[in-house]
Amino acid sequence: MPSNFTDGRVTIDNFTSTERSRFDAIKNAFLVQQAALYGDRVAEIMTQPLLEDLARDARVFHHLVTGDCTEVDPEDRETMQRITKEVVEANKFAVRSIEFSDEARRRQLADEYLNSLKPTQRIAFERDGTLEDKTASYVAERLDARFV
Amino acid sequence: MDHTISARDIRKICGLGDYASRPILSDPALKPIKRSGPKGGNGLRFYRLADLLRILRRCDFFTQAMQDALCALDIQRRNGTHA
Repeated sequence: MPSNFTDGRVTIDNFTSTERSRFDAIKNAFLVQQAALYGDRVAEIMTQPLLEDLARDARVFHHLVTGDCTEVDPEDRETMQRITKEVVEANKFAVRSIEFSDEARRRQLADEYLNSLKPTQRIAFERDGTLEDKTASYVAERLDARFV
Repeated sequence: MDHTISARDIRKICGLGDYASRPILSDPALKPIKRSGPKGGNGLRFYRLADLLRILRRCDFFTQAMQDALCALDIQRRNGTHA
């Protein structure tokens, strides 16, 4: 996480044309891997800050400047996936965004389950003390269903 | 450990003296970290390559060969293949 929010932007603005074309390749690979790993869970507003963090990453910066593919290769899916994961997890706002999306989705699924029950059924479950467990298991079951 | 390049490396690679390197290394955008050896003492300042290149590229004396040397040093230090 950069201490100064303009750091990544300054780094990107100082690229030469060769570095810029390399950065475009890295950027595309990063966005693809981000979509594969997190789907729509990272808020759209975090895209630019994450790209700035990506440009500041020492391994990525080294590739951009030298064109050396030993550490980072935009063609290599596994390396890009690892780097994407590290960059996203190092940014606390991106992590917060993912947690928030998960929480919002969880709440939506819980509402969906509670609304699907008949009122008498709901009261019966509540009296048994099993309503919370049933809701939790429904949410756990459905939470990742859209990513499969 | 992204801070890999010390002031001594910069002086050596760019062929600068103490006096000539001072305005470059005192740039507030560099944000160095200070790292001491096993016996403590007054540590060395280490700089990030990304911060350093942005300052050095503005200098007339800075060449492609110097940039390559700094990049090589950076990758070696990060992967622990340099003393």
